[in-house]
Amino acid sequence: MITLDNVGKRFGDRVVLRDISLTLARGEFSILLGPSGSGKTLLLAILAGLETPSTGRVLIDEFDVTHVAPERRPVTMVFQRHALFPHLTVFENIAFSLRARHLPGSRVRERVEELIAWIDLQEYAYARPDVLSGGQCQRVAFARALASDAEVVLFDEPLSSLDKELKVSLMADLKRLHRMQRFTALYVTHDLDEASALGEQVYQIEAGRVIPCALR
Amino acid sequence: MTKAFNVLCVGLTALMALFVAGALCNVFVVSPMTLKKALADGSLLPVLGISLQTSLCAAVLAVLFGTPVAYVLARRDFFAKTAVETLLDLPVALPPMVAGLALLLLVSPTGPIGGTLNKIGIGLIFTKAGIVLAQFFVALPFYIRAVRSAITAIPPSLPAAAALLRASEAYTFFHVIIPLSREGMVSGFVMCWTRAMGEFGATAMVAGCIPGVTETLPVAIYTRATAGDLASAGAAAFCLAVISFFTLTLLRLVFKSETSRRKA
Repeated sequence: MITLDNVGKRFGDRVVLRDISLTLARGEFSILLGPSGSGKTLLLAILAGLETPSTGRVLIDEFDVTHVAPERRPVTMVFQRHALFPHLTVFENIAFSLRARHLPGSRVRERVEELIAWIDLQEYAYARPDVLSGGQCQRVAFARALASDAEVVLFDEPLSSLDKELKVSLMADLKRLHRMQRFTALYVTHDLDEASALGEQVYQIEAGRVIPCALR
Repeated sequence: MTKAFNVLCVGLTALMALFVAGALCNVFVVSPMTLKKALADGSLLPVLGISLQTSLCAAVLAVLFGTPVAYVLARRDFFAKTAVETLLDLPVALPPMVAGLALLLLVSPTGPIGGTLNKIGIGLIFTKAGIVLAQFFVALPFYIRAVRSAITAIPPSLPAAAALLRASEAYTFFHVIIPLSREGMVSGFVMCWTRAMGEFGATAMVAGCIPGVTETLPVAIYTRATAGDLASAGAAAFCLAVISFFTLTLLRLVFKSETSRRKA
């Protein structure tokens, strides 16, 4: 369970987020809707530990992680522009987190091959990201995030730059991966179709506050 | 107006290239006989060897010490950062003689560090280690600048992604930052090495000019030219210029092929 307790963020005099309280249940896929510049990505950065809130606390399973470094939180993120490591192959990108945690080589290989099979990119396993399409890169980013075994996966508009057909296919992939792994997800978007297709819970960010939102 | 501007720019480029070529042609045009004679008398090879050894040591030290410094300057904000940056850049702007005198005072047997080192039997004055120290001091900023620019150019989302994949900062440094700043490190190493090879003022102040021990190529050029042996000085200058020319050409070719590979 992940909880935001009265989280606020200001830059100088400008208040971007104010008194946000939100609880995401374990294994739930939640959506955060909001227009560009509303602070959605900033909220994800606070959850991930990339930004520190000006006020309030972030709790994961009732532990206060507000000032815990990103690498020590059970949280990972899929970025809008996938942020794959350009010098590493698909295999190495997915293996990155496993190797960073010094898992045995056989375990790394087994897990990476399993994830590559899930995203159906076996023929590109030893290719670098620069030869992949946008959709393939995003699938690698999903697999890489899952390889981190994080309890919470944050998605920062991962499909925003893709065409509609590809979006539909990747949303199906994402739902399938979520069914298999049951990670807690917070998915940020401004697209109502994505929100209604993926979300079990939908929230909206408006004037720096987060409110529940009913789409169906 | 555009045509006149273009003519002016192209003309100035050609003029500057001619100026540099004209100034250097006397160094590059050395008669084979002069070169053969200088190499045959056996005095030039040890000088070349000392220059290569010490400058490579200085450049390797710059990689070891300069890479973490460049990383901190590129990725951290801290109190008095501008002052630290200026301080680390100072050896570039400082007259080499001033740098040499500062080092001499620091490592001389009566100096704060030289005194301590002297007690444990390590002397830096008039030694090859002194040359390395002087070259390292003067050339380090070139390496730091190149690597810092390369690290700054890495998109912030990549180290952030590494942290969110549970990689420690040290793991990210070695597996993301270093590989992605490889070009900057190579060009920084070459710039640092060529600067160290050409270092004269600080080297002469700290290590003097003991033939076969502390005589580097630039020091040899100076001593031989001032002694009236222009042929021998010319041969030493030719060696230095050829090394610099080929190193820079190789660097450009490597980067050019890397760029075309990426475009492909």
